[in-house]
Amino acid sequence: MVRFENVGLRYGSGPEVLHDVDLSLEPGSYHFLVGPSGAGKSSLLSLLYLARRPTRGLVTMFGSDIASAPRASLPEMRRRIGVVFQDYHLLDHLTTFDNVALPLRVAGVGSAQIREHVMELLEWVGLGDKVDVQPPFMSGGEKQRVAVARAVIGQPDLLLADEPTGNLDQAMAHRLMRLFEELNRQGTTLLIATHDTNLPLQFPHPVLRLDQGQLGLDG
Amino acid sequence: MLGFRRSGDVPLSSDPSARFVPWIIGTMVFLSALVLAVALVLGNAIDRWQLSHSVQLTVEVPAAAAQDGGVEVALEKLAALPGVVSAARVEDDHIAALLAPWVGEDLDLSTLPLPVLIDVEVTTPGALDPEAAERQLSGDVPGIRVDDGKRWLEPVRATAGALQAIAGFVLFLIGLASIATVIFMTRTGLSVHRDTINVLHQVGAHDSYVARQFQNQALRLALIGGIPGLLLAGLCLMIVRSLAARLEAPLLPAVSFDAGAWILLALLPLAAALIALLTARITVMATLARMP
Ligand SMILES: Nc1ncnc2c1ncn2[C@@H]1O[C@H](COP(=O)(O)OP(=O)(O)O)[C@@H](O)[C@H]1O
Ligand SMILES: [Mg+2]
Repeated sequence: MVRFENVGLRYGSGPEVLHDVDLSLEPGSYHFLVGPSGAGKSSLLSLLYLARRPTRGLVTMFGSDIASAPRASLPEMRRRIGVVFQDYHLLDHLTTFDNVALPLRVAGVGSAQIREHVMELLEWVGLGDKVDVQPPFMSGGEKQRVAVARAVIGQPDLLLADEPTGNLDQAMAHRLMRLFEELNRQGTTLLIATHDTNLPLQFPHPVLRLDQGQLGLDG
Repeated sequence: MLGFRRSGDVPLSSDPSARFVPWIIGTMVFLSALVLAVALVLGNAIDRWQLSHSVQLTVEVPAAAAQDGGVEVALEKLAALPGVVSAARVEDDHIAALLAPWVGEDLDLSTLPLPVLIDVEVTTPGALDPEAAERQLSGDVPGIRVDDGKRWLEPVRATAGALQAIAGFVLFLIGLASIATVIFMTRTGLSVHRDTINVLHQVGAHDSYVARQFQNQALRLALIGGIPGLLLAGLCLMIVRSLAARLEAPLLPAVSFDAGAWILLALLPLAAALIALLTARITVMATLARMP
C-alpha cells in the first residue's frame, strides 16, 4: 500500500528534515509513529497524504510512483487517504454537516446519498446535535470528532492521524482510540503519529520511531 | 458549470472584492454600452444616408449653359437614359428658400448667375453611372455635372469610420481592464484562501473543483454589476433619443436604434459575465498547476 525507499525531504533550501527513510505499510496494518517534537513526524505524514513530494528517494502509494505521478492523478489517490490533522483543518465557514460532507461532495456523490451517510456517521461519533454548528462555536473535543468524521466519511484505505489525542482529555482520548481500533478491524490501514510515548504502550501495535529525521523500528 | 450553491466551499462572498468588483464591472458595462451605442448609431446613419442617396442624383447645369437652353436639353436627354425614373428641375423658389439664410429673402435670383439643379431619380441604386452620364451629356450641355452624392458622402463616411474604429478600440481597452480586474481579484482570493484550498485538495478536490468556486463568484459579481450598468446606460440612451427626436436637423439622420442594436446592448452584461467566468477559471487553473 505504501512504500518509501531512501526518502529525503527538505523545505526549500533548508536542511533535510527526513533522511533515508525506508518504510512499508501493508494493507490492514496499524502502526504508531513516535518521536520527540521536531523529529519530522508531521513532515513524514505530509508525504503520506500527498501534500508534498519527496526531495529525493522513492515514494510508492497504491502502486504509483509519486515523484512521477501527474498532478491530475493525485486527487483520486487522496480520496483513498483520510487525515486527522493536529489542528483539525476544518473550514470555519461551513457547518459540521458541510465539513464532513466535503470529501463526498468533491468526489461528486449525490446530495441524497451524502445526507444519509453524513447523518449516520455524525450520530455514530456523537455529533447528532451539532449538525448545523460551525467550528468556531464548538469545543476542541467536538472539532476533533468533526475532523475524524471528515477523515473517515469516504471509507479510506489509509487513515493518518497527527497527534490525535493531543488536545483531548483521558476519556475522550480513550474513545477515539477505540474508534481507530474498530476502523482497523474493518480493514483500514492506520498510522498514528504522537509524541506521547505512553500511548503506544496500551496497544499491541508496532511502533515506528523517528528521531532527527531518521526512522527506526522499535523492537 | 453555472450552478449556484447555497454557500461556497471557499468563502469568497465575504472578500472585499465582492463589494468593489461589481462597481468596476458595472462601470465598464455602462461605458461599453454607450460606446457601442454610438458606434451602432453611426453605422446605421451611414447605411441610411447611402440608401436614400443611391437612387437620387443631382445634375448641375452651369449658368452659361442654362442661358442657352441647356436645361431643356439636359432634361430631355436625362429622361431618355436607361434606369432613369424622373428628371425634374429644382424650382427657383426652392433654391431661394435654401439660400435665404445667407443672402436674404427678397433677392431676385434671375439677376444672379446661378447654376440650375435637376433632381434625377433612378430605378435602383447604381442604375446610372454618374461619370458615364456626364460624358454623354457634356457634348450638348458644356460643363454639366452629374453627382450621386458620393463626393460629399465620402468624407462623412471616413469620419464616421474613424469614430467607429476608435469606439472599437475603447471597447477593447474596457475589456482588457475588466480582465485585469478579474485576474487581480482571483489571484488575491487564491492567496487569501490558501488554507481552504489546501483542505479542498486534501479531501480529493481536482483543480477544476476549486476553479468552479472562483468562476461562479466571478460570474455572480459580473452580473450584479453588469445588469444595473446596462440599465443605467439604457436610460441614458432613451433620454438622448427623445431629445434627438425633437431636434430639427435635416442633415442629421434620426438617431435610430433598431431591435438588433438593443439586443446587442443587452448581451453586454452577459459578455462581461462570460469573460469574468473564463478569466477566473484560467487564472485559477494556471496558478494551481504551478503547485506541487
Ligand atoms: N512548512 C515548513 N517549512 C519549513 N520547515 C518546516 C516546515 N514544517 C516543518 N518544518 C521543520 O521540519 C522539522 C520537522 O518538523 P515536523 O515534521 O513538524 O516535526 P514533528 O511533527 O515531529 O514535531 C522541524 O525542524 C521544523 O521546523
Ligand atoms: Mg507534528
